[in-house]
Amino acid sequence: MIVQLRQLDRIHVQAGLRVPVLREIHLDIAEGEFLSIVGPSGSGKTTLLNVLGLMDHDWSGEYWLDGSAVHQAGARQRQALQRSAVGFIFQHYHLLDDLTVAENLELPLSYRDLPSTARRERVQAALARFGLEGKKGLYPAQLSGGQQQLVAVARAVIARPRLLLADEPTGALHSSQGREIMALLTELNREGMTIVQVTHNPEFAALAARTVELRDGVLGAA
Amino acid sequence: MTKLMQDLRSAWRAILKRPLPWLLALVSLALGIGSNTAVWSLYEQALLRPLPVAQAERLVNLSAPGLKEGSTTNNVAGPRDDVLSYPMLRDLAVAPAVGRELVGIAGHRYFTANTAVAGEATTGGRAMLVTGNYFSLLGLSPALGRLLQPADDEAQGRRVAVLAHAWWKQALGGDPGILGRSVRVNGQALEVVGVAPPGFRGTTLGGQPQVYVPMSLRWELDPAAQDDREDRRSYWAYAFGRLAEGVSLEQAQAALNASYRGLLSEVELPLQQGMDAARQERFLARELVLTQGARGQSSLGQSAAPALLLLQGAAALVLLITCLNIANLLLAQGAARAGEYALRASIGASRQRLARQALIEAALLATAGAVLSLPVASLALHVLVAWLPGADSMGLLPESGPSSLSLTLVMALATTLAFGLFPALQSMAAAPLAALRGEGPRATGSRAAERFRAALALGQVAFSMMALALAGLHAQSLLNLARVDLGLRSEGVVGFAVSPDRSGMDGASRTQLFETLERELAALPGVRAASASTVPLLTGSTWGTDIAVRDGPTPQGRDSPFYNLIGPAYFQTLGTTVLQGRAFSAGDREGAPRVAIVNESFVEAFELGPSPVGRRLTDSPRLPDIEIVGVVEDSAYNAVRGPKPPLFYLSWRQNPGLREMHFYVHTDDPYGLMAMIPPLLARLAPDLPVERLQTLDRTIDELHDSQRFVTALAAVMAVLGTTLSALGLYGMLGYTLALRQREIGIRRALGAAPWQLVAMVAGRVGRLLLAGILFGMAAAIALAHLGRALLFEVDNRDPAVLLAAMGVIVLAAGLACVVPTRRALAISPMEALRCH
Repeated sequence: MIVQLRQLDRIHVQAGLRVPVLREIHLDIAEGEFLSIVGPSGSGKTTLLNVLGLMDHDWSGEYWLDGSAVHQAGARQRQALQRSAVGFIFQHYHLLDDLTVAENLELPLSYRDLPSTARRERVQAALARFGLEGKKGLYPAQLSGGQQQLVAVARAVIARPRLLLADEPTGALHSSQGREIMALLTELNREGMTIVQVTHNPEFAALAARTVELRDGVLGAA
Repeated sequence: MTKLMQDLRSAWRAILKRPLPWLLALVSLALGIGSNTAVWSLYEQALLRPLPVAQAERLVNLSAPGLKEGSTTNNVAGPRDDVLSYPMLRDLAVAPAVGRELVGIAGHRYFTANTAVAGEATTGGRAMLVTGNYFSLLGLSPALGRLLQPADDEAQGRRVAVLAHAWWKQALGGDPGILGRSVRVNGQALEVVGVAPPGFRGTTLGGQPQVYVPMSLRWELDPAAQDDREDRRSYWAYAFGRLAEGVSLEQAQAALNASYRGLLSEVELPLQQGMDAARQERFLARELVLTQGARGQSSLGQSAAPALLLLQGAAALVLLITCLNIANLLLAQGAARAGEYALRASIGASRQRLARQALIEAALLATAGAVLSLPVASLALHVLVAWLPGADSMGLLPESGPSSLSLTLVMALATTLAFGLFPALQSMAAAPLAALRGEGPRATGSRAAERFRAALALGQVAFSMMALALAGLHAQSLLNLARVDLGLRSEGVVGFAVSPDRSGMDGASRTQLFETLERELAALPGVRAASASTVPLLTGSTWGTDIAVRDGPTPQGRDSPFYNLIGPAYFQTLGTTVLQGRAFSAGDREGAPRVAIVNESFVEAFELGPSPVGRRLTDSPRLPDIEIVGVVEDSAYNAVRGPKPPLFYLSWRQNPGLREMHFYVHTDDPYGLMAMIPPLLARLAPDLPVERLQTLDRTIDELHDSQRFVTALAAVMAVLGTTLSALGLYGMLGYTLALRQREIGIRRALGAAPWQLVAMVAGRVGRLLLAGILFGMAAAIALAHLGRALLFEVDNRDPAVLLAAMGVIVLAAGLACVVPTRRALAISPMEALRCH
């Protein structure tokens, strides 16, 4: 198992009130699995994704990621683990406006202390793989939404994470662009990458091997 | 009204919600405006404030430029062009233009005087000679009794005086029973007939007389005055007039010149002897020039103008930095509130309503800034008056007039509205939808705007670096001055002066007094040695005379070396080593062989060789030679800077009839001694005031007052500039990081460690700092080069000073960056991304 969650609780404190967002989550994700998380708005999908992506630490319970006990890890270890194992795709792409396509792709590599020649090679390979060679010098504002999300996917996988987390990856795209992105994710999964996506779209959720549903912070089978 | 109250409440809540930027803007405003108000107050007092008299704008000063043969004496009231002879003043006062174009013409001139009211201590100061119509022409009323009248100033002059209000209060405690009592001015008894009105300090800025006396008493009261009451070739009197109603300055000048030309050609020309035709033509071509006299007559304001302008320039720079700060801080504030403005707009608030809200917030800030700047201004004024060279003699007071307070309000409003309202309006300009989506700050945060803000911050850093480097260079210079080996002892030495001739004492009595003083001072408890000296040491004063070595060469340009007339214990008092021969003794007096002591530089300059003792000097063919009896080490004379001059010393006892004398006393307890000297002098010469009583260390400090002032000014500017720059950097960084919250979130989500983000911020700030430091350093080096006369043995590129200044900037910038950076890093990446 690449991910194991045991008795995981996440509570938000709002105006002095403790609001449970995730309750006693118990979840196993196998290596190479493609999992969809569905559920109504406010059910805790994104919070769960943030916990899985090590961007949220205020929870209780146990979390094992790639054999490491996240619940026992300190901030540095969590960060190292996140850097080595996790890639993110966001609904609104979140590319850096001031950087070109190639520079956006290079960014995660620069945070992983790769030598510049290795970085250049990987960026070149990613541009080729995702068909972005002709766009490498363009800025995000010069790309369509689909193209921006394509760059975002390329950026998420360029550091070769074991776990790819996608938060509504097609939420800001029209359907044909959405399908292209989903096809890409499916292909990446076939190549062995573990993918967890949060989506509202039943068609795209169905592309995953397994779907779980969150309702009021409680996880159940879809 | 309800809407206004609603907006006020809303503005108050907005300020309370995010108090820090407002607080920083407030501090910036208070510092910037306070310092400007203080400087303006001084500037206004010295250069702009009219005399406190009726219709001051109608006063005109008379000037008589052109050829003036004979003797001319002028003082701070104006240059030699401005003075008239006493007969000419009297003639002009009754010219046909007076009573027609001019209401009248009055004369004045101050002189040094020892003044005492019977039963009170004598004080040294100034008295003002005024014509009988002086006060009536100014339209003044007395605070007590009456003012001087024309009848007081007739040929013989009544022996009456009017006291200056400040002196009456200060020296006599405002005694209402003063009328009819006697006041002694330079030993002459005059009857006090009145007290001048409060606030009136004479018509000469810097004159500040203690008493006003009729001009016709000049020759009785001023021992330095020659009998020139009828001499048309002796120019010394200053004059002013008052324009008649509806008459212009030009009309009055033309009318007065008609009489003046007649007086020159018919009365004065025949008195000029041996004047050739060309000079006669020049003499007759002279014309009176009338100038605005609302501020009285004084050249002191003009001479202080450069220092005041320097101050004003520095204050203006501080204000500029303040403006940049307000802009930067409120831009950040506006960016943070773009969403709020958008929300208000989306629920129906008009742009006018939003603008009004921003206007009210800005007005609240301006009001609070103006109020807070008042104590800052008061503090700055007290510091400036204490430090500004000549502030005391100009009578500058640590008070702000109505114009300064108005300026404060105007500056506060203008600064806040121009630099505070604009950013708020910019933030409102963001499209509501974009702002609601969280893109408001990006809408206002274009690259050009970012570059503009970076340029503002860069300018601030450059200014701080410049001010810090200049402060450092000047502080180093002061330190160097303090370390100079003077060749004499200043610690534990007290100095003072007496001028017995101003109290009517004759030559023999003066000599007797000087001898007694030397003896009695040496006998005071704790005193190690005491000596007289005719030259006040280290005050810039010099005495020089032609002298030559008998049978020796006179070096080029060295025939008038400096000298001093001293007592036997002079070298012992001042710790100067006698290298060869002997010091003076009490036997070196009138009638004994003339003797001199020379210093090492004198020996070298006059090529006296290894055995100067026994060589002879000659200063006059009518006097016997002077034998050199000793050689002393070089010591400072008139200044601390520069090489020590060739000097020779004579025994004062061999030069009787000296008018005034300085005394130096070496003691274990200088301040205890300073309390003993006035009673001692009061016992020996009851009418004689102690003048310039202070430690020699204080005298040296005064010599460096200009240096100290520039250093203090640079230091104040450096502290203000650095504080404001740190605030500016804080604001800029806070704003930039607010704009980059999304970017920071993305970078963290992509695996950036906190230190990598700190490095990113540090890189950004570092580039800006580096550029600012380089610009500031270049400016400091250039300015220090321009003002190198003020620096003493300091290289304008002193690496230690420049590095220290750089260190302070980097430290201040580092501190300014801590809070915004920590705040930016504390936001979780998901929160940052969710916001956008």
